[in-house]
Amino acid sequence: MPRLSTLLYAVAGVLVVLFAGKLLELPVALMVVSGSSIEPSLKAYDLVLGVKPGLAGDVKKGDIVVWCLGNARWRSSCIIHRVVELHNVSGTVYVVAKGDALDRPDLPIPLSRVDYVVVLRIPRLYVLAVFLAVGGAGAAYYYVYLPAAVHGLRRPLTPGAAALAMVFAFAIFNLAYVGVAALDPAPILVKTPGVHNETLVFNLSSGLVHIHLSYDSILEPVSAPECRIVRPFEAQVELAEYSTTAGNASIVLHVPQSVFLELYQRASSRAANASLPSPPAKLAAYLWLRCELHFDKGVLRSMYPLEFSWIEPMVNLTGDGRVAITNRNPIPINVTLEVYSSLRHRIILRENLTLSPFTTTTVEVPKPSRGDTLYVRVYYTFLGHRRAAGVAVHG
Amino acid sequence: MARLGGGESTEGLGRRVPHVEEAYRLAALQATRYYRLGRLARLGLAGASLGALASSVLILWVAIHPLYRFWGLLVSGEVGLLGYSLKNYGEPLRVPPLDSIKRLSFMLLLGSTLSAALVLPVLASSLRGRIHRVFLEAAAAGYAVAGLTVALLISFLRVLYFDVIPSIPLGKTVDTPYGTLTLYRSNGWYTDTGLLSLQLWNYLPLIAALLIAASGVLIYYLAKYYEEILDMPPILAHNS
Repeated sequence: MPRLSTLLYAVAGVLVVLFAGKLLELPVALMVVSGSSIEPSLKAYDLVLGVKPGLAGDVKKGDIVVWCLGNARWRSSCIIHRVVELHNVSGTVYVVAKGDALDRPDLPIPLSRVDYVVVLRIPRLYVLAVFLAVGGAGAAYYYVYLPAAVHGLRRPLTPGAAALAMVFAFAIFNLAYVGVAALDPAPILVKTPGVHNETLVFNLSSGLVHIHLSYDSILEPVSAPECRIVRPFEAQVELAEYSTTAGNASIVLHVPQSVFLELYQRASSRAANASLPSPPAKLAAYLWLRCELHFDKGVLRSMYPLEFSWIEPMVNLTGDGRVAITNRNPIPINVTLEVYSSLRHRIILRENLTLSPFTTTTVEVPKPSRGDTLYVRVYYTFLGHRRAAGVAVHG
Repeated sequence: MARLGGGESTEGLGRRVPHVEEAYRLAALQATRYYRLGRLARLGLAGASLGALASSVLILWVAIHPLYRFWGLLVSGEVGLLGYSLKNYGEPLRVPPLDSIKRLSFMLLLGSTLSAALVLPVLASSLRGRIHRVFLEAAAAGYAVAGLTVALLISFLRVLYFDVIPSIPLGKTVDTPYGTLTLYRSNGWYTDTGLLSLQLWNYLPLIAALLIAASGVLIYYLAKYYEEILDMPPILAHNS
């Protein structure tokens, strides 16, 4: 009949070997669960008994398996998840596992990498109860029973036992209080003001840009906006008007004509080598405006595209025998008007004109005599191309 | 000193006892209540107790004072272990990890108060040669509790300084369909108590280790030299 102490040592030895099983890659291992990815099936500090897949039979869908990351020192970084799929790819079985509490499965791993299949789970409360019972019984035996049995009342408690008991009580309370509580991972929600709306109206004929901004009323502008053209070249714009009310700002900017002239020159040099469509041609143009509005709590930086088109001048006959030449561009255009008489076979009128931006210039042409046809031609340079447009006036 | 006589009753031991034999046992039991320590042992005891008391005061000081201060518009206010008062544009800002630390830091209060309470009696009586046995047991526990609490303080400070405080945004860029709103940055720096905790950062593990070691040494000392340091009444000292 073996003595009780021998049995206890044997049990302790078996437990030590089982706990070292994962490290030593033994066929059977006792492991402590950590983390919450497989809750509620397994909880942190639960004990699980795992056996090698060969001993536990085939790995099946629904089994809880353990595999360790290859580069983990001391095989300390292992994953315990449930098998959700098994795939056979060219003779190699791949296991797809997923934590019960997770939304997505893990990357597939070959079956050969599965270290253990869980065959037994010991809930953490049982583990704690057994630990406390065994520890308490051992401590009572060693620190209370033995001294009392040997020394009687003179030494009822081993010296230091009371201190150790207090320390352990504090440590266990500490573990229970601090150990179970985790840092709340909820995000820190910092309220930030925002811009809610914006309207932009670009009036090409006046060169005015109207910007209206709505923002959180906790934002207060501290200075007038700073705006300038940044593309395709850098240029200044003028602040024509600026007003604010709570949560709103109204900005009116004036784009100087020099900006359009510069843009027209650039567009002309770029379009000079390309062909233009038949008159009246239209070519898209753009300017990028950058504005900075300084608030008391931050700076709003915005980019605004100002889009328009270069439009070739148009020549039309008015009802009263005049010729109207329309310039729908923000820049003046120089034109030469010629009136050719088909009866007299010569130019009877030549005039140089400057068409102001967004204006229609009317020119009175001589009345053609009976049987004569006057050809009114307007010559101009549009985007680097010498072009002409005209009308015929019949007598 | 109890006076024994007559064989029928014993006075002076707090209650009447019928037999001399039992009176002897009670006197022997009473004799185990006190230790008589030498000067060196008392010096060590006083030193360790002062150390435990100082670390308890330090833990309390660090726990109850703000450790980090923010100023600016986005985030302003103070952060400590046992509380924080942060504001976001004047509105109270809730930081869930700091709420957790606040709850957990109760252990710092408990641990430091407990350890101070456990070591104070032995510190008060270490000037005398005769020390109550319970005081020594309490002191040994107090050193260990102080050591464990310092270790707890290290982990809380680590979480606070390296995880929670860096996660509080000091500046923010808000991308909207209407532009990018770059909010002015707030600033933050350690308070004097925070700087003190950083200066002691490298020493805290040593302090914890020394306190736990002191506890171990005291328990070992009590267990090993129990018979030698017992303050024996003359009758027992004579018999032994």
